[in-house]
Amino acid sequence: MMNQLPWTPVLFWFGAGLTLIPAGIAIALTDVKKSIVTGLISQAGIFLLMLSLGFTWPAFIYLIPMLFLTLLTLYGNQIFPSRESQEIPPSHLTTIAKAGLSAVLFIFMIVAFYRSIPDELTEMGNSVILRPVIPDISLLLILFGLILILIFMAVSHLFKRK
Amino acid sequence: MKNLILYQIIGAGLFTLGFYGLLSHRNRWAVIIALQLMASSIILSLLTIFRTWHNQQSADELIIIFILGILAIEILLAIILTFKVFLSATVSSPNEDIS
Repeated sequence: MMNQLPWTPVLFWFGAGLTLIPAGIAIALTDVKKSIVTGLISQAGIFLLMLSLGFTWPAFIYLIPMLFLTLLTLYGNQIFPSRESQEIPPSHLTTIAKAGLSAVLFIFMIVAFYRSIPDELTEMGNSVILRPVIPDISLLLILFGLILILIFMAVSHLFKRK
Repeated sequence: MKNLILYQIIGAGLFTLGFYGLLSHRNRWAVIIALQLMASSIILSLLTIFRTWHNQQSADELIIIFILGILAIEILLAIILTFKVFLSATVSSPNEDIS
């Protein structure tokens, strides 16, 4: 795909930088307003990554609600500023360990997904073509559900914390 | 296929950043930003999986439904968090009433 369209590597690397660097800055910032704006730049990077994948309409359909949600977040932060201080709690090691564990889980699920894709041999004349077969949709649903459960667990952990 | 792995690595990195922000920040609005990052990483990974399946652009409708579903869940979580912020901003604590 990338060889067919020469501009996609440019979009990919630009989108990758525009995604990861502002996301790191948004997480590290203590000013919430700046953090929200930097998060929006990160969403623009995701938009570019989607374009480089070849999904034009889904990218626009993704960007418009994200823009709307970010504007609402900015407005909400202006109306109801949260009383909790934007400080990282002292247990850095535990937090980093949990985030690392989530990353390992995420990568494990993705690797498990790719491992499960079988290859099908198709004989066309004298040549043999190796092409991937669409795996069972239930595996994708399990992956999707696991990620959602991870998010809900994190949110419930947040609500329990005093 | 090798290039598509890079997308998954970016998705995993973004998910890690979002999860770290979710656990480390106490401010509700910062938590919403972290949730946005996590949802974006999930959408990016799903799109990469779809691209692995289909080289042609035949699954756009299905992808749009997936994106809208994930965004709906994220907006629901944002509404819940906003409601929590609204309650904590409007309801005064009993100690403040006594003093």
